[in-house]
Amino acid sequence: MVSRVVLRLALDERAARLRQTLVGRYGAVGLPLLESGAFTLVFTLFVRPRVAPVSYLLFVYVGVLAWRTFARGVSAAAGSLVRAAPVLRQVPLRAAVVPTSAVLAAFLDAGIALPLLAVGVVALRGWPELAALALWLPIALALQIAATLGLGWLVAVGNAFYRDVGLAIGPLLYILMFAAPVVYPTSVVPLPLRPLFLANPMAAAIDAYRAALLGGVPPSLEAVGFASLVALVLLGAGWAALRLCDPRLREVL
Amino acid sequence: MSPAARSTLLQVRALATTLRPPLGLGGGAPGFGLKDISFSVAPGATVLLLGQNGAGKTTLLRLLAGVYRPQGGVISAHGRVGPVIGWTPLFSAELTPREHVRAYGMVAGVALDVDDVIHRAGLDAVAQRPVRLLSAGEQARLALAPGLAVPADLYLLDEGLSLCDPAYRAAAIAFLRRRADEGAAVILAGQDLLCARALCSRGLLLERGRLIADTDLDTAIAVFTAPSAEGDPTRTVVIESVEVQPVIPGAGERIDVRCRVRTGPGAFALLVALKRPGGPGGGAVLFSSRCIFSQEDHGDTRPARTLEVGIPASALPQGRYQIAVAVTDSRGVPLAIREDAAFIPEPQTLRDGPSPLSPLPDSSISLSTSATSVARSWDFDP
Repeated sequence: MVSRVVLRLALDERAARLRQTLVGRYGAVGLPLLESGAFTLVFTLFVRPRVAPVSYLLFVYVGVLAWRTFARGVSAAAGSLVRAAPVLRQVPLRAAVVPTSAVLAAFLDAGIALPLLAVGVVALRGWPELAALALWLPIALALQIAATLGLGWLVAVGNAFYRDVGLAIGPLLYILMFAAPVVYPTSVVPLPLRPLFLANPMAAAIDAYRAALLGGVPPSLEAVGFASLVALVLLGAGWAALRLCDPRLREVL
Repeated sequence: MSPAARSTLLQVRALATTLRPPLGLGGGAPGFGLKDISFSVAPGATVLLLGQNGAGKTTLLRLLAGVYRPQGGVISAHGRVGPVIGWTPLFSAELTPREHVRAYGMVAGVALDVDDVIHRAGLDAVAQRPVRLLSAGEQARLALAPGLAVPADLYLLDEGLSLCDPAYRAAAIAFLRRRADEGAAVILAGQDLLCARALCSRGLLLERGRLIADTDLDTAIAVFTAPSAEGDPTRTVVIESVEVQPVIPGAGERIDVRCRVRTGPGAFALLVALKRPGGPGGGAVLFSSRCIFSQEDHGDTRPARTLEVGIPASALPQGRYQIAVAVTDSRGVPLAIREDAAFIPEPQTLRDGPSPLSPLPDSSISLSTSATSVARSWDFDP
């Protein structure tokens, strides 16, 4: 029942957001492509990375799509409780439902871009290896969902009490993007900084996506373990924050 | 449903809560709070929750709806609560009324007939239009209609009716009256006395977070609309407790009523009446008494004082009686009313042993004495 409410709210949130737009749902395809194109232009002209064997555009597109979904989910979750104040102050609906549906809506948006990604992968690199796909895609998805939900729940509660959280989360996520292997591979990160770098679960998730789709270097088991631990801590902390603050946060919305 | 649940749909005891801004914000300003709210609602009751802006009506409704959690006291509700607390649609203004009703049904956990709800709200012509393009009245109808369509035993409504056009308002009131006849209860918060008179028979009067009167509608409205100087501290009067001695009165014995009252400075009268409970039009005052008292100015504090009034209850026939207590100002305007129930046992019981003067079941409490009849029956000349 709760899952149906989450899905309904997510679909309605998307419908409301896309209404009175020109490109509608296809913005979810166009914007990551535009962003990837801009990164490709800048980095191939000035930095000249050596990313083999796929083209840099496809490499960046996978990273941008994963990161944008994460960032969109977290920032949508941040403002979700405040936006849903009218319903939360009338109906004793579980507060956790609201940021969860915001995160789900971000993932539904990303789903629109998947056909283009599939065509790009097959056209530029060929069919991905089934074994790598079957192993790394679920790991990448699990890490990303856990990290997005956990951080989303936390910032949603934080923003309910202090609106600075919602104002800061957008710029912070943009800065964090450069601390994840979105526009560069993990291999260029200096070894002493590697543990700190891998504390970001999205770093391991992006590497896992690339290993699944592009045959890239997969993350090490230690990296996956560390990322899983951080993602689980985020998930637990976010859930606990929502459970503990649920009655109180309705009073400050 | 248990017998207790049948006689009382909602029981509120010593409810207290304080809404505070988050730590570090609000400059340490004291939060708004409700304090020591007690009342009960029986099946079929139609109650107006009355009070000035900021008195705590909406906060109380949210507590009753389970949206806020009380910091003290107990709320026990039997049956399903149907809150319609806002008067604007709950979801994004980009969605259509149809999408709103569908989403409301989902979050309320009820499969609503979307077309039927839209039709009853008179929104067929705008059903596919974004809500932001609807008029204020249409938005109010959209806020009310799904809430009223959810089957409930206790309806909680806040102001929204007054924004709707007369036709919809009349239909909604007729629906709520019908539901009350079927055993549901309605609590309507607001200051729309037109709606209130059409729907409600009982009034709860809130002032600055305290319940100062739980009485019939006419008396509540009379107290609410009585002329008063804004900020006059004497307006806040609380009858904190009423004790009756002896608990089992013998024939011809005087009944002493001891009241603990908290007032601001000024001159007041305490009126105590022994009444027969009755239905609409009943509740005749049998005996009454009064005492005049004054309170000195103690600055910001309002000390409580205990007053005792005797009622000569000679030749009382056996049966049930009520003790009603009111505090009025020097002009006779009621400032606080409390109607505690009492029960006089039959003569055999008196001989057999103690049977305490105990509260009547809430469903049998009559709250029908109007302000006019109170003044006339108590023969109080201001």
